[in-house]
Amino acid sequence: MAFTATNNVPLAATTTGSWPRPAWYTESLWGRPLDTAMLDPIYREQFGDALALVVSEQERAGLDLVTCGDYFLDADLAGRSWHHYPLQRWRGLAYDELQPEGTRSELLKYPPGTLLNEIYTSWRWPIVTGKIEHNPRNPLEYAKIYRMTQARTRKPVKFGTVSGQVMALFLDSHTREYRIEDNKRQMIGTWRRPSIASCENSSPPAAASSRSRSQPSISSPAITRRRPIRLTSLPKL
Amino acid sequence: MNHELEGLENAEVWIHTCWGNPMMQRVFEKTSYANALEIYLDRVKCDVLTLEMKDRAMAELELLGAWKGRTKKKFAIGVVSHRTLNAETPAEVAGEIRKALKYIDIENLLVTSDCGFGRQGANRMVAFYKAAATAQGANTVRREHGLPETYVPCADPRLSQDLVPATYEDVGRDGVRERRAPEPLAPPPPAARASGNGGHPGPSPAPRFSELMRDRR
Repeated sequence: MAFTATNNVPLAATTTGSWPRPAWYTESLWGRPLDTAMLDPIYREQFGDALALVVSEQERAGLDLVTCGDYFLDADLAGRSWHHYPLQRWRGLAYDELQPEGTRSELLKYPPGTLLNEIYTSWRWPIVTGKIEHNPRNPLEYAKIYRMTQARTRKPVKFGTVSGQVMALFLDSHTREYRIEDNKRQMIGTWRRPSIASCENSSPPAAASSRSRSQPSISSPAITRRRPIRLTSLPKL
Repeated sequence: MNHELEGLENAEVWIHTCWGNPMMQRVFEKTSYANALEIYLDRVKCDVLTLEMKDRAMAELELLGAWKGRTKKKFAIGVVSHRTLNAETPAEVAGEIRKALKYIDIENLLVTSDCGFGRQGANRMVAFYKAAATAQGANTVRREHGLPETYVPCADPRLSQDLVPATYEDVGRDGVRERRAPEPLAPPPPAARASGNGGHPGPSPAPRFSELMRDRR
């Protein structure tokens, strides 16, 4: 860990998390691998242009660190994709089901007639059917998304995502073998995968290169017990 | 947490502590970082801890004072709310930063939104001006401390999308304010370039809304 982006930038300004989508950005992955979706000219154009737009807007706003706006996530109800994106891609998870009363977190129980009740009873989650593992046929592609974003701006990109622990709040663990450690291991594997992007230690940032010298530039939010947290890492630029 | 973060030695790692954000809703009635700060600041291997503050009325800022001068970690303080549609002003943001500086050294302080604006939350213009207020508020405080500022294009009057005519006679002319600006930015305004008159602004041949209204009167 090192201050690669905010070193010598006191009061560096940024934004956290998602940025509202433009009205024309109507496509979503809906579980597809990013590489598959990028074969669709419509998705490819919308996603790429949306990334260009969000960094442009944040630059125009004067932010020191910009983000991808979480534009890789689906435009689903109340932002379920924040947690669901990895769950759609890992092995050992299946189906979209409503959590039953018995295994539903107390944190998700709100009375009928409230908006949170509608959200938390509409959200569906996979059940654990086996060991949770990285799926090479549908990888998380955080590095690629980071590269696509960083290639569209000269300012450092802060990339954020959910971490393993937060999913425990929503997963219905029907298998005895399920352990939260499995979630965490998958996130670790994601960060360390050699294809992850990074940038040269120069300014302006060169396009991300898988051969560059610096370490992976990936982030992830997570939860410890009741408090979701987001981990964000910033690349050395 | 530390196990997950292994291998990120050359990346700047931020940890965002979040109180939930489905459709801009408050999920928890009681929010407090009191029991978590020691864990994040003394035991978790990270560089920056982000804290939702604006929507919590900047509560518990004083708790951070216990780490002033004791930690190399930085605090990213939420200075605009992700749960309100009212865009904070730069002055309001500057005020929140000044409050934070009572407990955090300026070299350890970063500013951000409390959480995200999307996911059936705010619209783009609201998010944009909250971000712009964040940047301008930071600049205000930087100026007070003699620190370099970050250029904020949207606050540059020379780049204003719509230019207010100086006088009634100027209505319908393009580039009025550009001609009076002391140091016009390059490139010249698109309107001037597209005038077909060597870039010299002239009266627009199109009927103006104000003229139509004047005739009606």
